[in-house]
Parts: sequence; structure tokens; C-alpha cells
Amino acid sequence: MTDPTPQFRLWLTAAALLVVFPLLAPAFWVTQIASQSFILGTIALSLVLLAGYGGMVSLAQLAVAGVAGYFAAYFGVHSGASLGIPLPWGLTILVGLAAGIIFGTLVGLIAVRCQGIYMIMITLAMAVGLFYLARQNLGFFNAYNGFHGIKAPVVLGLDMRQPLPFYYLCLVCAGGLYAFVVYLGRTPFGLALQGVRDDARRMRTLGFDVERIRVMAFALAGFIAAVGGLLRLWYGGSISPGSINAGASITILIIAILGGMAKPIGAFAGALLFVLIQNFAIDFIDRERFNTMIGLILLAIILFLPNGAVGLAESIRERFRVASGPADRQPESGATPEVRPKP
Amino acid sequence: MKAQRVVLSAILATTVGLGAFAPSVHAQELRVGVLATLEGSLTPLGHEALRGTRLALSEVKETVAGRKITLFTAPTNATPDSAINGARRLIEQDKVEIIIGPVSGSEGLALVQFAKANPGVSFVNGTAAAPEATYRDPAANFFRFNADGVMWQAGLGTYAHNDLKYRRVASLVNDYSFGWAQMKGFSMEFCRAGGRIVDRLWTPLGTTDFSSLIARIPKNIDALYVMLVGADATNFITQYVQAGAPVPLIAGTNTVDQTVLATLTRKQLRDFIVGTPSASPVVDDWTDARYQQFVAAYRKAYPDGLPAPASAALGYYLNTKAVLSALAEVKGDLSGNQQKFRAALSKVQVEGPAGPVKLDENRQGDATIFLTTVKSGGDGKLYNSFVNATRGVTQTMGMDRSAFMKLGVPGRETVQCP
Amino acid sequence: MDVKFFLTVVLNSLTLAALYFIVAAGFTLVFGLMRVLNLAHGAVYLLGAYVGFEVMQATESWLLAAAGGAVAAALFGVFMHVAILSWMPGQELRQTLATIAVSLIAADLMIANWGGLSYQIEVPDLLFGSLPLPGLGRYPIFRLTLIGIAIAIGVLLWLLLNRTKLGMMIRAGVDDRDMLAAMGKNVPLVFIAVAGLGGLLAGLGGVVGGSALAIAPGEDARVLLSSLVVVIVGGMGSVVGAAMGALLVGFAEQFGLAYTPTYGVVYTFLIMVAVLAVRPRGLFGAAT
Repeated sequence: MTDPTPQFRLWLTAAALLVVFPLLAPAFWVTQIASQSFILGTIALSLVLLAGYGGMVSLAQLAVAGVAGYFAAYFGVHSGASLGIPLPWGLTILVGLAAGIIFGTLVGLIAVRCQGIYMIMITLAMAVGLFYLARQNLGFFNAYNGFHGIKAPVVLGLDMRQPLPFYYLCLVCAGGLYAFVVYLGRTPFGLALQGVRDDARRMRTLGFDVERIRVMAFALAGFIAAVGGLLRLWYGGSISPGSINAGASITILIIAILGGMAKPIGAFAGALLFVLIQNFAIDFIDRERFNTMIGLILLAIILFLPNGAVGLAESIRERFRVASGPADRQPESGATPEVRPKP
Repeated sequence: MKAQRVVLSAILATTVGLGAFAPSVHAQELRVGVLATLEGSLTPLGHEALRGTRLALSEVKETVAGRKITLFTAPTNATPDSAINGARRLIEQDKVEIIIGPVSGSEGLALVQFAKANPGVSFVNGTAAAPEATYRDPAANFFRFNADGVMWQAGLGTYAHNDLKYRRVASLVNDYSFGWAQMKGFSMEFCRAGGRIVDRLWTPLGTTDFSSLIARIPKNIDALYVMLVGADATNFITQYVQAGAPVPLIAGTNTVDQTVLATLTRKQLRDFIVGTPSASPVVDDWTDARYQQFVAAYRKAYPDGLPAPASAALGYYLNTKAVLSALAEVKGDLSGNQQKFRAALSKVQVEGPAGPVKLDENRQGDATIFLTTVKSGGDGKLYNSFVNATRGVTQTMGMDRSAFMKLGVPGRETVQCP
Repeated sequence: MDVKFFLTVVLNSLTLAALYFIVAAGFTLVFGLMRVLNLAHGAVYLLGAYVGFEVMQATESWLLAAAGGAVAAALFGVFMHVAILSWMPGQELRQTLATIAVSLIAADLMIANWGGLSYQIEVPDLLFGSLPLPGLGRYPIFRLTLIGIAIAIGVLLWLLLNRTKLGMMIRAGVDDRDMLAAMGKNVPLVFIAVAGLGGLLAGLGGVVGGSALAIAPGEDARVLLSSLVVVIVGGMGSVVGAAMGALLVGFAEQFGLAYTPTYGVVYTFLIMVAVLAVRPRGLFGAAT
């Protein structure tokens, strides 16, 4: 076990910065950059949990977030008076989360029957199928229009729609879920999941119920995605089929690749990078060519930095550590899983 | 340790530096944002929309009350979320104070709700024509000077039944807010006149394969009411003619819009479409002097544009002109949360090509609607020719407001007469 | 409804299946031999369509347009293989992610060049219009031509795979790649040939689709998803499987849209999910 002080100090400083940052920065940075990064990062975290710890790439995580959002919209207050059953916000949240977890588990039940790239295909098919269903169905999803005029609730007099409270809400959710995933990686379940990722056959012979472990992972990922979906609903104030189309699903994958799928922090690093590029790429290239730029960055990462930005940061840190001398030459505690391609 | 200190300092410096970072805005500049469909099947309308706005701006040489107007464009694709994302980008990155747009009905509905959440910006419509944007749940900072999709069909249903003697029809319409609005506008008159609509076919925006729909068209009808937008209309007409074109069409506003007519280059398609009736806020050969001035100005400014301005150009032109008039009246003063500007906008009377336009209590304009029929011009191009004009069409189509509301919000099933 | 309607829908299904077969055949060969799930296949289709359109504008010859589109797409396919995918041999996940990145870039560059407008490749006058058919009235000629084109391609592919040396190597490679290399055959060259063939078929599909339907941004995603379903159902590497899959998907889509219009679009995906859930390697797929 390494001396935790330098690491701990880094986290403490980072946490302090995150708490203090919105009090100094302009609203644009607090909401459009930081809060949005937390939200996208949370949804991406559900993918990183499945891919990094479980070796399963699911393109349906955004769809799961979307299901949570749609249920919360239908069972909440929105502008279209005739559709939906508005409930008190506490119940609305519960319904949204429950829907997300159930749908996430359903996705898992079907998806775990496939391996590797087949799983990518089937989860993509489910996501796009849901998009078409939402676009065609008028009675629940409100078809092409979707739901608008949705606002975050007012909790104990604190209006969550205001930039600062909403930021702290996102920070608490994202931070809490991140800590949960890291902790999960060290629990017996988490270790079993990583074992299944590394060698499912051996795990089976050791007596582990591989299917159940995988589906359980999808259920947990569903919960994480559902939280992200609710935050996203409140952030944008609306949800419509376009929010859950193939492009949106691919965006989550892009974020996970950018940050790196090996470690949970990669989800948030990727989200921050993505949001920054989206907002400031116009300084370098034609704003309309954002997709080309993201595609090129993605390609570069896939070719040269398979572990994304976090992997890059780690290799830089390694180089510094080597340069600093033998006193700091200590291996990281806890096996950090690396995403390895399936043979 | 040294590395960590370097990293920490970098983070600290960046955080502090961010606080100071802010894009500079030129004090004299007036930043106006425009939303236009530049992707997806409504792209031709988006291009036309920008022509309309630029035409209005060129009339005042892009300056109002000594302030230069800078135009920022955000592309959308007719979906609600693309409109919201575009508007958000215009406000957050480009720091616009007024947004003109959008093109499409469903985008407009989403934008009205977005406007409520952004009271500091004024939203003036482009050519989005879903009625609910102004009569069901209006926003205090959303203004629409062009007519809505129901209004655009004024006169057509009655004409189809009484003059063209069509008794039984079926419909084939794009399945979203604007399609539902046009269907309501047509069916409320056609049913009231005694006609029967025996079947309703709905198809999503962006449909490219119409074969199954064409197969489902009922056999024993007099005509087919078709309301498809942009590329969908072009694709449908091409496939319909290839399939033998069993019955003539009654066209919704956008089906024989110039954005579509200009694409029908093949002789068989042109021969078929000539004679198709429609109703629209624009017409290509009206002899009214003021209207002809508008058409001439459009043609002069855009020699590579459409043969005549389409409804998207008119809508954006009208709304932009209203913004400019109101700005001139308040001498470019957008201070005090734009209160003076918005009061001016609510009362301004815009000199539109088809007559003056004023807003009602929901900030919705009235309009002159033309009944048209497609003709082949001497230059080999297709035009919507004037049949007659209905002036002063209001959002309730001349009905008592409660009676009109009883007809229901436009949807797939509104106003039935099977 | 009635017999005439039923027969029309059958023909619609066959023509759609024809288009899907042309596009999916290339997809499945690449998937089967090189184990590459090329999610840029839709972009290749679209590029072929746009290039075909430009050639048509320049030459007014549909055949030249078809050739131009097919060749451009083939070159794109080869380029993708040589410049990107061949650097990550055997890493399926990474290759798939790379093809996603390529499709993003390609689709965006195509929008930059051709804009958001929808184009159509004009069908020659000879093939425009309809033909009276017994039992169902008039039916578009070009759609019937589509069926003919698909059958011709199917026959040519069969001949290529079963009567040529290249075909023999492709089939052997689909069955057992390592063995193929061990036998000393020039495997990289075979890969390049298949990558080019896959692109060629996609590009040809693009020109055909661009004549029967339309060319616009978004068509690439639609075609890709349909190809995915076709290949899943038919199994990777099997051209016969691609034909079966195309027929199933074509019929499901058209009958779905014709008889249950509101949710017809969802059927394709239900099929894919159902097939994969029951037989994770596809209906005709090999065991490993």
C-alpha cells in the first residue's frame, strides 16, 4: 500500500477547487461547461463501468438515460398540459430512476447474450429502435415534438434551476457516483466483474454465475445513466426523439474514448474535453466542421493513445515519476484495469 | 512531488484565468441570431429563409439607429432539439440579443418554451407555422408576424369541394406539428363544405421511400391532399408519377412551394404538376404593385435564387422587417430587459408585400392568403398562379375563439369527416 | 386490404431487398473475411452516390455514373483499410471504433462539400415511368430494374467466389483465416481486394439508391443500420446469408409500413434484437 498522502492531497485540492470554482467563474463556465461536463460525464460513466470493468461496450447507455428522462417528463410538470400525469417532484424522480434501471437491466438481459462487436451492434440497434419508437408514438412519447418547458424542482426553498445550486447538484451526483464506481471496483462484486472481463470461462469453472454478474453490471450502469438522464432533462428543459438518436449515442462513446475507458475518471475527463472542444474549436476551425475535428481527434486517440486522455496523463505522470528518482518509484495501489481487445 | 506541484499550479492558474476570460462585445454592434434549417430535408427552405432575412437587412443597409447589425447563423435540421441547441449556441457563444427563426413548426414549439426560460432575449419567428406557438401557451418574448399553418390553407378546402367538385379525398401528410396544422386548415373547410376524407396517411419528415404509402392510397377517391415539405415533396412527386399518378393532387402550402417546383426539371413531372391547386401566403404572378416590388427586389438580389420568393423568404423577410422597424422606433435601445423594444414590437405595423401586418393579443400576426394553381411560365419554369386572395385571415380563421378551440389542437385525428 | 395491394407490397419488398442486398453483400464479405465491422460502410455508400451524381451531371450517362460512384467508393474502402485498419490487425473493437471516427469525418466533409440539399440521380428516360403488370396495375420500371441489377450482382458474386482463385481464397479465409496465411497465400493482397470489393458494391448501391430514392445526409446512417440488420440476420461472410437477410428485412420493413404504418419502422430493429438474442452469431453465421 503506497503512502496515500500525495494522492490524497491532490484529490483534496481538486475537490476544493470544484467547490470554490463556481463562486469565481462567470455563469457560462459554471453551467455550459462545468455542469454539462458533469452530466455527460455521468452518462459516460455508466459506459465506462461496463466497458472498463466489464469489458462490455454498450451503445445503449444514452437510450437508458433517455428513458429515465422521458418517464420523468411524462410524470412531471411540462408545458404540454394535456399529456402526462404530473406528480410531485420526489415521485417524478423515483419514477424516472426506476424506469432507467428497469430499461438498463432489460438491455443487459438481451445484450449479454452477445460478445464484443456483436454487443455493440445489438445495443446500437436497441438504441435506434427506441428512437424510432419515441418518434412514432404519440400517446406516451409525444412523437416528433417530445416534451418541453421542464424545470428542475425547488427543494426546500432552493431553486435548482439557478446556475449555482444546479452546479452543486451536478457536482454531488457526479462525485458521488464516481466514488461509488471506484469503490465498486474493489468490492467482491467489482473484482468478480473484472474477472469475468478477463476470463469468463475460468470464472464459470470457479463457480461464478457470469450471466448474473454481467446483468447486474448493466443494472448498476442503468442507475448511473438514469441519474445522468434526469440531470440532462433539467439542464435542457426538454426531451425529444432527437435527444436519443444514433448521433447522441455515439457522442457518449466518443466521450468515453476521449477520456479513456480504463479508469472511471476517464468519463469525466472525456466529457470536459468534449465540451471544451465543442465550445472553443471555433477559434481554430470553421464552427460547422466540429464533427470533422472530433473525428480526427478520435482517430488519433484510437491509433496512438488507446487509453485516452487519462492514459496519456498517466504516462506523463510515469515519466515525471521516473525523472524524480527512486523515492517515488512505487506501484499504484489496486489493480487498475486496462481495456484490452478481445482476442 | 515537483510534477504534482506543477500540475496543481497549472490548474489553479487556469481556474483564476477563466474568471477573467470573456469575449469582448463591440458596444455599437447589434448582434442578431438567425436559426435556419441548413441540414435535413428542409434545407432548401433554410436557404430561402436566409435570403428573406438578408433582403430585409439590405433594405436598411444592415444599420439601425446608427448601430451596425451583425448576423449570426445557427443551422438546424427541423428537430426540436436542434433548434434549442442552435438558440443556446447563439445566446451563449455569440451573445445575440435577438433571435429570428426558426423554419419548422416543431422547432417553433420548442423555441417558445426555450424563450420562456431566456427572458433576456427577444425571439421573433422565422416561418415556423405550428399554431400552438402563439395561441395555446404563448411566451411574452416570442413574436410571430407571419401566419400559421392553419391560416395558410384558408380557402383551399372550400375551393376543392365547391369549385373543383372533389367529394372524396385521402391525405398524405408529414407527421409533425406543421403537417397537422395544414391538415386541420384544409379539413376544417373541406369537411364543413360536405366533403369526405376517407383515409389519412402520415409519414415522418425525411421519408425517401414512398412506395408503401403510394400503395396504400385508396382507389375510389377524387383527389389526394398532399402536404410534404422540402425534399420529401420532390421525392414523392417523382415516385408518384413513376407509379402512374392515379389521382390529381390538392397541394398543401409547401408541396408546390417554389423550393419544390424549382426541382421538378423532368418533363413528365412538370406536365403532371401543372394545374395543382394550393393555398399560400405567397403567389408568383400577382399584379399588385407592392407585391411585385417585393418579387422584383428578390430577383434582383438573388439571380441564382428561386424563380420567385417562397413562403420561407416571405416569413423571414416580414419578421426581420418587423424587428428593424421596432428597433428604429426605440432608436436601438435594448436596455431595461428590452421592455421598450418589445412594447414597440407588439404595436408595430409592418408594411408587408401583401399588405400591412399587425399582431393580436398573443403576438400573432394576421395575413392575406392566396389561392393558387400551378402554371408553366413562358420561360419554361413552373409558377404558382393567382386565383384569388383572402384578406385579413386571423388565427381563428374567422371563427369565434371558443368554437375554434373546440376543433382541437392540431394532431393526427383533428377534424374528422370519414 | 386486397390482392392488388398485397402484390404491390411484395414487389416493393423485393426492390428494397434488392438494394439492401447490393449494399450488404460488400459489408458481409469484409466482416466475414477481415472480422472488421465497418461502421463507415454507410459513408462509403453515400460517397458513391454523390460521386455518381457529379458524374451524371457531367456526362448524362447513368452507366458512367454507376461506374464512377463504384470506383470512388472502392478507392475509399481500400484507403480506409490500408491507411487505418491494417495497423490494428486482430483488434476488432479498436477497428470498429476507428471506422466510427472515419464515418464522422467522412459524413461531415460530404456535408461541407455538397451541403444539406437532397439530390437525385436522374434515371434514363427508358427506365422512367411505369409498366402495367398483371394483377397489380402499373409499377415503376426502375424498381423492377433494381431487382434485375441485384440478381446480376448476386450471380457475378457467386461466380467470383466459386469459380475464381481469388474467390477460393476469400472463402477459405472466411472459414479459417490462420490456415489461409499458413498456406502461404498473399493474405494482405486478398484483404485489399475484399476491402475494394466491399467499397465497390457499396458505391454501386449508392448510385442505385440515389436513383430510386434520394441522396442526402442521413441516408448513410439509414443504409448502415439496415445493412447491419441484414448481416446480423444473414450471418457474416455469407453472400447467400446476405440475400436471405435482405429479403427478410425488406419484407418486414415494407409489410410493416404497409399494414401497420405507425410502428413499421421499428420492426427492423425488433428483428435484429430478436435474432441476436436467440442466435448471437446470426441465422447463417459460422460457429466462430
